[in-house]
Amino acid sequence: MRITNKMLQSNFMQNLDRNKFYLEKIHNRIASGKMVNRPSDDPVVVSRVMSIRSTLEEMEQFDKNMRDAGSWLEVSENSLSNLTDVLQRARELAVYGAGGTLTTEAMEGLADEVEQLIEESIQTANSAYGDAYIFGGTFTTHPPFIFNKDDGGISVEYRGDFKDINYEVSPGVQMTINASKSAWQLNEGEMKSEVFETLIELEQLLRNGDAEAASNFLSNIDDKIDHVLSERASLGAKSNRMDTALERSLDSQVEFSKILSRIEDTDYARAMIDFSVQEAAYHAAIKSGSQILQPTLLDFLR
Amino acid sequence: MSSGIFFGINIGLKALRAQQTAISVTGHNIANANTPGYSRQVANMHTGFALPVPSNNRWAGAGQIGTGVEISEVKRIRDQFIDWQIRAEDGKLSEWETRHDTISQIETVFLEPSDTGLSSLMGEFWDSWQELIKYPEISPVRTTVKDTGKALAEAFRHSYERLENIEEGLDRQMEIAVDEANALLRQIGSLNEQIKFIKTGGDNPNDLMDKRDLLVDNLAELMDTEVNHVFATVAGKTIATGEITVAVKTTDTNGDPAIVNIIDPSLDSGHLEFGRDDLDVTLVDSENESHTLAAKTGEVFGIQKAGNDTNPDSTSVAYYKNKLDTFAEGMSRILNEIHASGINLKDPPDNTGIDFFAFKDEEGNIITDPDNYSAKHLYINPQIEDVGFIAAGYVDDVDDFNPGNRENALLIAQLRNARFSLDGDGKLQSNTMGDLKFETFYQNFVSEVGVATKEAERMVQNQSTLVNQLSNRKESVAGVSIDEETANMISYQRAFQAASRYIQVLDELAATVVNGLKA
Repeated sequence: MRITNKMLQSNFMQNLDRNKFYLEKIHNRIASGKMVNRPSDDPVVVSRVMSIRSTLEEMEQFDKNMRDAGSWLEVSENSLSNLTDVLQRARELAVYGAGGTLTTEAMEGLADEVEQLIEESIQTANSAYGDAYIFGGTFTTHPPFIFNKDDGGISVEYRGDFKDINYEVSPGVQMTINASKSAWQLNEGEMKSEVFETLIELEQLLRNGDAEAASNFLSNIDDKIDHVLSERASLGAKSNRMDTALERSLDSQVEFSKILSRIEDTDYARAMIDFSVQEAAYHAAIKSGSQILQPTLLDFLR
Repeated sequence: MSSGIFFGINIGLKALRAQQTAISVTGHNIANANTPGYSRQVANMHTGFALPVPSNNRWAGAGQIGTGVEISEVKRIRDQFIDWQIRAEDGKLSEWETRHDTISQIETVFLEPSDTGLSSLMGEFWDSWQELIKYPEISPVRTTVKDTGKALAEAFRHSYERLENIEEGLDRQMEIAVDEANALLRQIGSLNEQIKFIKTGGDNPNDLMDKRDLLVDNLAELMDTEVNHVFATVAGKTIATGEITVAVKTTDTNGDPAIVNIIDPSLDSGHLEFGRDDLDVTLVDSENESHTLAAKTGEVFGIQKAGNDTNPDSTSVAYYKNKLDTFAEGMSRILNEIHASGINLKDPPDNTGIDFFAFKDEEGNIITDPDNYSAKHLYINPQIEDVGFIAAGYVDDVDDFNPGNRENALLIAQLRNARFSLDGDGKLQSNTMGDLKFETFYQNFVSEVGVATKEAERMVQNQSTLVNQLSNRKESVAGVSIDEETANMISYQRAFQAASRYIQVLDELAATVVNGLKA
């Protein structure tokens, strides 16, 4: 076969181009730190990378949801803890009142304190997380409990609704985070809270100086305290569940990140070896090319 | 008659002339060693017509006496079969180069994995709905939903526009390709005439034929052609006139394939016209009749394959435009349906069915015909600019609605992981057993871009290896080897020197005779 100078040259250039093409590819991997930079680098890997990234990103969102749910639960829990204190104090007052030894003025004083306790728990019942009142169901933009005092005495009106507030904490899994209905023992028909009704009743009978009624009333208050305590326990359980879920989610994120790194990130040791091999081939090609292309018969004729 | 001294001088003279011609041919070869399309030429030498001279007083010597050397012809060395092969493979190469160019550009539109692509914008959009679940009553959170929705719609439009730009580029490329083809056809036509003229004079128009072959090579990169030699019958003998006809594939008015001569020396030449209609090219023949060009390889075919709207495959722009349309239409329809059934935060709240996404034409008018819903026109509903209109809540009775209601936001956020399938019309439909999510739908077609790009890259590589091998074979036959020419030059030089010496010897012989007689 005849070999012409042009053949040598064009073959040389083609091989050199191919060398450079691979050099560039490996260099890209090293410089970007990623095995895949465009879909055609490896379509299968790219679609896996996209899917894992999206899963990770979604998990981060659910983490945020869980943290926010946790904060909401914490605010609820604090409020109910306040409420417990209030009810304990109310019980103490009821015990004083039940003794039957107090003067009318002293009973009156106890009633005044209960009234203050009611006002205090109204604040608790109207606590907000961010801009949302947490005990009003979906009625979140205004305080759900309203305190009224007129000649007929004290009344507390509930104007929220009885709907659950659900956060999504993982795909398709919702968690109810509000506790208004059971914590405040709302009476749907009368739009009243049994907790407040109990306190109001206590205030009433203390103001009336009815020691015997106060004594009989203790078990009523105990009921409420028990109820709030069990509600707090259930909030705590939810909180714990959320913490565990969050931890589990963080663990799987670490796993997913590991997988992502394994398929997406450049294995530098391997890339550097590939690079050296390719570089050696490139240099060798240039060297042999420079020696094969230059001379012709003319160089050896005198 | 015997071979006289002067007869010998004539042999010497012919030798000088022949070697000189051969050296000129060598010089021409060396000079054109790098000329594209040039094929090396050789001066064919043959012995002069020997003198048999039968006569009575014939000198009784051995055999005939040669009359020296003559150049019979200067011929180009070329293998027409390799030419034919290269043209076929070169056409496929430029077809795939064009398609690879296009799909690589498409790939840059869907450059994933990325933190800024459609995929992550979609993630942000769903996340904003998750936030809305948590804070449905807070205006800044609603604004985030609106803004991420806007960004998503814009990304759809932008991707679509970039695909359209690629199509416009193909349109211009076709225009240039057609112009180039017409220029090549004109030049081939005029070379045909010159070649015929010189051939008739009995010479070999080697350089002109090289030029014409090069033009035909270039034409073959644009479209597949069929080249035939023209023969004429002169005095009962069939001889090649040196002209060629060039035919291309077309589709006739019945849609049947037909091969039409676009260059035919016996007729006026035809030409190509670019009609712009879906990248169709029309061939107007010498009789002014139009045929639709139906190239099957070459750049023209590559452009059509990549850019036209009929039967798009995964290397063509239209394919991805359709995918984006399906995506945009499906996502907006399914989301709007849920959104419209929800309750917004206006005072008083209502459930009058406001869409979240809307399709707007270039004049800003809302498009109502679902058949015309395209990613190109995807916007958020202008009403949503008032974020109070975002319907985060859902209750059966509007009177039971409170601002903290977030049931609808929950339903929309869950679309992220909802399942779909494509119905008979290629539209996305909710289907709990479906194998698609919005995300996977997009991932799938990013994968398709990747696979198609890789495939096109592989085709280009294979095809260029093939073309390169054929070029090497062609070059091996027709290319100029400097070493070979140098060797030839030396042998012609030596022959020339020897012939000169021979004449000198004859001169001395003559001198001996002349001077000797004088003495």
